[in-house]
Amino acid sequence: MRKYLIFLLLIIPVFLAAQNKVTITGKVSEANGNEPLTGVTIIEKGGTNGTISDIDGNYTLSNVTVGSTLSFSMIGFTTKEIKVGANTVINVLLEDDSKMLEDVVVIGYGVVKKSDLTSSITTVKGDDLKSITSGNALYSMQGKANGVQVTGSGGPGDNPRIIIRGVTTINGSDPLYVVDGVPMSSGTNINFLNQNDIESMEVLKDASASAIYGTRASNGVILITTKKGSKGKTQFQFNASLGVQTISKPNMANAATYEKVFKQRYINDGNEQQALDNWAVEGVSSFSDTDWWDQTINKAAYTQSYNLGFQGGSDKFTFSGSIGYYRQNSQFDVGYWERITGRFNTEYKFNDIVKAGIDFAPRYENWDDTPNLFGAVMKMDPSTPVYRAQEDWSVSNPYNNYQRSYHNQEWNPMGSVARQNKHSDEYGMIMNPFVNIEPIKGLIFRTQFGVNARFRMTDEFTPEFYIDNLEKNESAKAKRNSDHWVDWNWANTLNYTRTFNEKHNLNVMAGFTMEQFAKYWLEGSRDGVPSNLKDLQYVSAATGEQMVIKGTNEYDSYVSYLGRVMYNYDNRYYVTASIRSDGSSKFPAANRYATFPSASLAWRVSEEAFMKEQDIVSNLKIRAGWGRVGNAQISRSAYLNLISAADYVYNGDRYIGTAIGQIGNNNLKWEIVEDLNLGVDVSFLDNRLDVTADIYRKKSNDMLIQKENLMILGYPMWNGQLWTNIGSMEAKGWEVSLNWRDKVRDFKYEVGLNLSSVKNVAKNFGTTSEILTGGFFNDYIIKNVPGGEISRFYGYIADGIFQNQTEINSHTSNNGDILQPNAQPGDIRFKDLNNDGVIDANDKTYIGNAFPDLMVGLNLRFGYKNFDLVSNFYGTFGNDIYNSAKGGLYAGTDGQNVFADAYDKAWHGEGTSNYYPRLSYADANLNYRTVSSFFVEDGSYFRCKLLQIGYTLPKKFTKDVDIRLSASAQNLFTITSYSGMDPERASISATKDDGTYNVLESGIDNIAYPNPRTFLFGININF
Amino acid sequence: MKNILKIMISGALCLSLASCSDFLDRPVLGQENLDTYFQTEEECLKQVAGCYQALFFEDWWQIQAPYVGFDMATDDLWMGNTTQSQSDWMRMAHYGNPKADGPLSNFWQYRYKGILRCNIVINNVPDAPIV
Repeated sequence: MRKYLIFLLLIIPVFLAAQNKVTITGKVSEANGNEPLTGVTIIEKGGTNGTISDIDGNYTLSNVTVGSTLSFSMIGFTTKEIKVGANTVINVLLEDDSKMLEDVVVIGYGVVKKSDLTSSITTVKGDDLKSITSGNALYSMQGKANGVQVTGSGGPGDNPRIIIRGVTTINGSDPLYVVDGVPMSSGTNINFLNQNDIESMEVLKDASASAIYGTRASNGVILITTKKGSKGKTQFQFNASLGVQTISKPNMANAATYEKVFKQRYINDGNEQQALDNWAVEGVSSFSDTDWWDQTINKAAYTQSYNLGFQGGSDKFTFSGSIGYYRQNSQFDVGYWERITGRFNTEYKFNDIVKAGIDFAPRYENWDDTPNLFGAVMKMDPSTPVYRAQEDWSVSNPYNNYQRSYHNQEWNPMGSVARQNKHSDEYGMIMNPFVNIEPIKGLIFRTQFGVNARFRMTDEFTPEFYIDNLEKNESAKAKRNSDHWVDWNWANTLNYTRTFNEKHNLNVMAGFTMEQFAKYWLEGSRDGVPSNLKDLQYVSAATGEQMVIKGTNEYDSYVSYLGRVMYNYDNRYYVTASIRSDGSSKFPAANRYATFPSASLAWRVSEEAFMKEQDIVSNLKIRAGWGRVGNAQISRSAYLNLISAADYVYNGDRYIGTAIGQIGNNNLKWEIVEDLNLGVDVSFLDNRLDVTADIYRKKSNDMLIQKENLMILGYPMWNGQLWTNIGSMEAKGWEVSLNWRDKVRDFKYEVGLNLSSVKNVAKNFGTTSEILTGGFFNDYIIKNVPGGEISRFYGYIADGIFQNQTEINSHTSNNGDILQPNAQPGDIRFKDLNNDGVIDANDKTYIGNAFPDLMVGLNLRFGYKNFDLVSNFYGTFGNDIYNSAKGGLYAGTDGQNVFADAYDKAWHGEGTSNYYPRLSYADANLNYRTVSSFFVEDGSYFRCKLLQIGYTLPKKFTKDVDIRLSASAQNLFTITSYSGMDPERASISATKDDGTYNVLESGIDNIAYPNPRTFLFGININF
Repeated sequence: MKNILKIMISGALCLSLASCSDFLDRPVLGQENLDTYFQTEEECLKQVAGCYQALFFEDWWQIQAPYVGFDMATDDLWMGNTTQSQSDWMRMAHYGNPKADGPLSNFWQYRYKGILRCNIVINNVPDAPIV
């Protein structure tokens, strides 16, 4: 009996203990597709009790204490932890760890998983931008976002030209920039942003993605998201980079060669005496030999960049911030751009329902304008010394001491550099507070008020100087511009996400935004400043009669209503639809509003059951999208009838007068662009190879054009031009991206190739039959016609050189009329295309196309142990450049300097040249003054944009700190047959007054600031 | 603070389309508009002065240059030697009458602009509230 009692007593505790321990069974499967997972480790936390799932994903774990936590883990999947409760059967779904699919992509007013995307959106991560040191994040994006043409200009602070997927409007090609949800005003130069602050840039390429931004989205949208904090120990990054920029020196003629060319031009016209007379200069017995390029342009220009970033936070409060400095000098003695930025982004979680945050981003920029003297330096007479004779020097005004060019009308470049005096200071602040309220799970209300305020002061002083009667300024002038911009944007969105019956995933969003862009400005200038003294370079010191005082306020405002529905069934079939209604202050009351709808579909084929059998294709998605977006880039007064000044002088008295200055079109409305996109995303071989391909067509309707009207109407605008909705353009193209990443033991590598092509065709210019641009000696280089591609060169065909008189005489029409009776041997032969016996405008044809047939971006990344190598290449193929400067540089027109080989290359006898015509002062055959194929060259190029080698110091020296040293070269080498300085810079045109590029006038080389080659040394420290 | 409140209230009102039109009504500041002109005697006189200005405009190339240049189509003037391009005057110097050439086309364009100015004055001054 006692034995039983003791046994019972012993058993009871065991029994009781056994009550707390259970055996858990279950099945572990993949979240995507429910495939059972073999080999998953299941461990009871805090001890060694564990097991592994079997071939069917089933597991059994005994002796598990109730209330403990079981952890399920496996490589390639996110670990899951589940608390043991009353249930003894625990089935678990594990999420795929693969970065590609979990990546979240920012779309308009929200985020979406990359796998759920239905539109054409390209993401460039902030880390990919960091390898290139530049003041402008867009420049670093070149070649990395397929379908985005970034073409750079080399000057400090310059804005590159951006074209997303072709051109469908003549009114500006700039996309809409949205920074942290705040749209920027049109014409914004994105260089105000510190590149190191950028977490990611998303390019919304097709209308189904950008229509949610309705207005101004017709050129595409670039969303920029800055870094936010995350909880954990505070992380710091310090980056520093120092570089040297150089520009290749062209081979210009020295004084002796210049003299030969100068004289030969008259000799070839039969004027030997004139050659000697015009070369001689009164009072000058010996000439100099000045290398103007060496004198004016510095071999090295420095650039530096420093940045300190930090992120951290707790459960409740997260923050991210930075302080940065960037400076780029120009290759001249004057001209630089400097920027200091600060940023502090914060987010505070009050409770599960309310979250709020604010971003502060103050900045200070200052710059001295860079003179554009590359052309002048190349043209200046090398026989002229930099300074005039010392005995003629002026002590009071050193600007007078430069020598006037002996043999041409160029202004002394050294003098121009010395006088360059235009300085700007800009202070800016961006503030972006927001509040998020989530009263019930899945329903989020967000209100955000973004303010972008900046203040710029520009001072310009034109000194008084006298070098020559044609090179002087009689009265010193001071000018000041004071500009304030205050832009605000108030966005409210209500978002609801819910999954029904596990398979139906729905997200609905409705929003309302209001925004205003305002500019407050004042400009004052006055001449008659008594001297050039630095202390007097202000408008108050001026005493002259020439005064300009103007100033006003300018406003643009928008009101928008938006909505979007995103639905998917089982993450396999997707439908997204959005609609936006915008009202703008730029249009007359009747046409203020326009509606922009969009829709897109996607099918994730790889999620279908039949696709699970194979393992070649790991991801396959097909998508299609359609949408309408708008463009409002016209002047805000285009619909108004405005009065301007028209003073009249009679009998010596001045009468104040006014007259009509502008007639407005009060039927103006939005320009609409409609586009269709078809795309495929495929991943092969375990996500090692990703391929994305898109094909698209964009078409604009009611395009805003300044249409010319009959002169009889007497409209005050030039040629009676009136803004009218009456044009249409179309862009058709395709894009293919391939990305391969893999590793072989210690060697990691990643290769990305982006190929794209687009054709921009003008469909309709209304009653205007053509738009001619690019002036060249009283003719135009470019002709844009409906039905044809834009920016094509139109001129005569230069068909070799006449070697002798017989050839001239035999160049006849079918009737035997000599086509070029005034030509001499050595002149260009022009083709008579229509065989009518006369060389005239009817013999012109299309001789070149400024836009490329193919654009290529190649991005490489290699890593081996502590070394890494990054290389980016970018190139365009099939584009032509009209090298207008070439004429003068070989002909010595107007006495300008020439290339060193100009004398030898020019035709000087039978058989000496079939390309370069003879030197001639009169140029009666207009060899150098006719728009012809002589000036057209292949502008294709392939450029190594970056080559960077980095070394990370071994951990045993640096412990917890990551230190990486790097050496890089930007624009290292270019493969091109183009003879000018920079095929990239030449492929875009000069900027207009407002800083934007005119796409209808592309591909003309006027010797603008080329992109320099830069060598940099950098250090990155993470701690 | 007051401004922010104003914005918020107009925003709330904007949810009804009606009062949004005020927010989107942005006249050009600093420049007079024809629709509100001709209200005083001074304004009318200024417009008349503007008509007189249209006799020669404010620069040399609109009316003055063609007047001088037309003499080239007579034997009073020859087109001479110049390093600048002569294409503007070439055909006129050969006694032609090409309306498309720059100087001739400018002349007509600016004369018509002058006529429009006069028509505006003729149409608007009688209705102006002046004595």
